[in-house]
Amino acid sequence: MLGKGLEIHNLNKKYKSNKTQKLIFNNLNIEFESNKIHCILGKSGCGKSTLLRIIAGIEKYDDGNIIFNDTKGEKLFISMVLQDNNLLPWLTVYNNIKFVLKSVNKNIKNYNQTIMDFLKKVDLTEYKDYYPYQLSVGMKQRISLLKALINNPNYVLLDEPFSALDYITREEMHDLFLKEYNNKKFTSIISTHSIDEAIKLSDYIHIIGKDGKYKKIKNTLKKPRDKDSDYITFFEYIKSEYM
Amino acid sequence: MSINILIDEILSIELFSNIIVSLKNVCLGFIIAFFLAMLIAILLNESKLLNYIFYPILELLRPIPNAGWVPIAIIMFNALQESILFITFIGAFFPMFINIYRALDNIPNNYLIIGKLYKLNTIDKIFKIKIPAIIPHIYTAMMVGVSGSWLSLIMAEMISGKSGLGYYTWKNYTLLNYEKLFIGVIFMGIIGALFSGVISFFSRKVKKIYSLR
Repeated sequence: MLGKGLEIHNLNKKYKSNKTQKLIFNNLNIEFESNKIHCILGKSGCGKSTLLRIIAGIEKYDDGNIIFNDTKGEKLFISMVLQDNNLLPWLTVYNNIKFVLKSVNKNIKNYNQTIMDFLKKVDLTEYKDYYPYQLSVGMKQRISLLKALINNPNYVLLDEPFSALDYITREEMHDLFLKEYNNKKFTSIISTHSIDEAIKLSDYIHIIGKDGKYKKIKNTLKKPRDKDSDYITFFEYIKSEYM
Repeated sequence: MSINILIDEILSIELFSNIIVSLKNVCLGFIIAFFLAMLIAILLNESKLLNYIFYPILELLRPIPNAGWVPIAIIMFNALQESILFITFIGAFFPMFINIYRALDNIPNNYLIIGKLYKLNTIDKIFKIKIPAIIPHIYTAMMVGVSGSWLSLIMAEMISGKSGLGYYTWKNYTLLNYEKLFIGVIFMGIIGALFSGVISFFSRKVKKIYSLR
């Protein structure tokens, strides 16, 4: 379903410590269209991760409205990929996936086949009994990304999921993410501070400045997004808005 | 010390029965202390109100030296056995409680986020996220706790015991029976080291899983 999937109106959020308080969002208004990839671009401390956690319902906010328009009649399910520690270190790869399946659907019985299909898909069948510490960073993020999609969520939130990866692994993860997106179609919101990543992945780029300045830009570059002259012009435009 | 005396004493019923009494006391005191320390630490971690009320009280009691509890234990409990068990419990409880309490307070935020994301209820959050997340720290707490309970037990047996390894050692000191005194001390070390060794053996693999040294 297209259209306004998620609307955020007049969002206010402050972090309070003993003596000071830091304003993160002051009457922020954002709309996220359904079944599109949205990248939130901003420097460290601008509130990207906070916004994702608020959308996921795991962080409180002071004031405002968050409206999910595209889940009428069905249960809203939001999944999230974090920058690191997405896998529970005390569980094997198999049990990490089982944990997700059973957390979402306690009555699920035939999870073994689902897990094995999943592992086959990520080409990690032989690693099913491995613990996360025995896997490379790339393997862990691959599992984390696909684990977030295993229960067909309405929203997939990614909090700087590729920032800790080397260039090659990051490119592979981008391709894997786009492939899954094209197969399943979901609304995805990705926080990043990489302009390149935002241009490559997104349909919309939301720039959040530290001063609360917000701008939404539609990414009209054709896919696949090679670094041609249009790309560079668009990059410079985003950069000027970002800076 | 002749080897014969040493072997005779090691094989004697007297030493063996005293060791059994001490082992029974230390295991019971330690197990009770462990479960209570876990339970109280989890309750205080889950409830701000309980934490606000009880944490200052526990912090007030924690620095009291174990020897300070001996007269209190004797007054509190009529039976000698129970007062020794109480001292053993105290020796293990506070070090374990503080280790587990602080570990719960320092669980990496991402694990808690995973719990919130999948909307786990309180019981699942405790048993599927919080307790597994602090397992390496639980081993550390157990290591400190078992040492604490062993030290406290020996001390209590020396002060007011009628049996146990501490009583055996102290009795032989007062009887100027230095061979037996040394045997008692050596067994105190061996048993203490065995406890630590067993816990350390199990904690090694766990620490590897959690990528800890």
